[in-house]
Amino acid sequence: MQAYHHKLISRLEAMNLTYDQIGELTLSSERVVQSWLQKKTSPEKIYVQQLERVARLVEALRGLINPAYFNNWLMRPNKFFGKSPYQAIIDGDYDKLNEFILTTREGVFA
Amino acid sequence: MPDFRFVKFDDMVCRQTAFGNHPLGAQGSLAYGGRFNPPALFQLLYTSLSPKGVKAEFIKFSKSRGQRPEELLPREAHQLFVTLHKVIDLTDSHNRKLLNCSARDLVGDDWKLTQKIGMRFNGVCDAIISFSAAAPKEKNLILYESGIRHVVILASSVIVEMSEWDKIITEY
Repeated sequence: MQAYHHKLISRLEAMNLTYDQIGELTLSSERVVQSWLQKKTSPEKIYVQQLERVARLVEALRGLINPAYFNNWLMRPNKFFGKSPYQAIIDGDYDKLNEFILTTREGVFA
Repeated sequence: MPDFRFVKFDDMVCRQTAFGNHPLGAQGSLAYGGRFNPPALFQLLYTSLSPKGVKAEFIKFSKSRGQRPEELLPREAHQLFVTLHKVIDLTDSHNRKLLNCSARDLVGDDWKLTQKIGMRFNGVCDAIISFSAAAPKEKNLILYESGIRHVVILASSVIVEMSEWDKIITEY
């Protein structure tokens, strides 16, 4: 049976994120992510939680952005965040990310 | 309470949301506020009186976040039917005079006054009619919780391309 953290990494890979990016987003590294996948090491609980959080956030954002633009949008600096959404995830700007997700879902008037 | 002119409202309105989102979801406005409601106090449902207005609001919303509208597609346009007994119409100059505010104040970037107005009528009436900040000739209907209870969802259409808004404008 596939380990839980493998499933989380697969979900992120399915959204066209590289191991390097997954490493950065989970505050680990490409090498560490690969060692988890190769079963050389197992992630500590805190990294599994971060993988969960990142997968949930990226999936929520992906549900709001046109798939054709998503990866470019994720990496591009954005007026709302004052940085790229990717950087906002790394920096743990969860309030701002949640605000973006909720208000974009509901199309709040500006 | 001064002698405000309240009106009845019995008509269709439009709203747009992300694909798959509930047409009457207003948790975002409750949590983060909006033009007529400060955050965390009460929810408001922001709708437009015309599909043209809701398209303009969608474009303004996208641009206010520094992104192109097509990046947020697909969206859903919802057609709602609303029957309300007591609505404050801020496009009526008599009401604006009593509130000491101009039409420009209603669509400006400073929301302090409009949020104050929203608080004043919370519990007093079911909704507010105001000008759209996105399209000055268009009007919005902003519903309090008591008003949301009187909304019937008529139709929802998925918008995949920006050009499809024109079809919605014709159909709704």
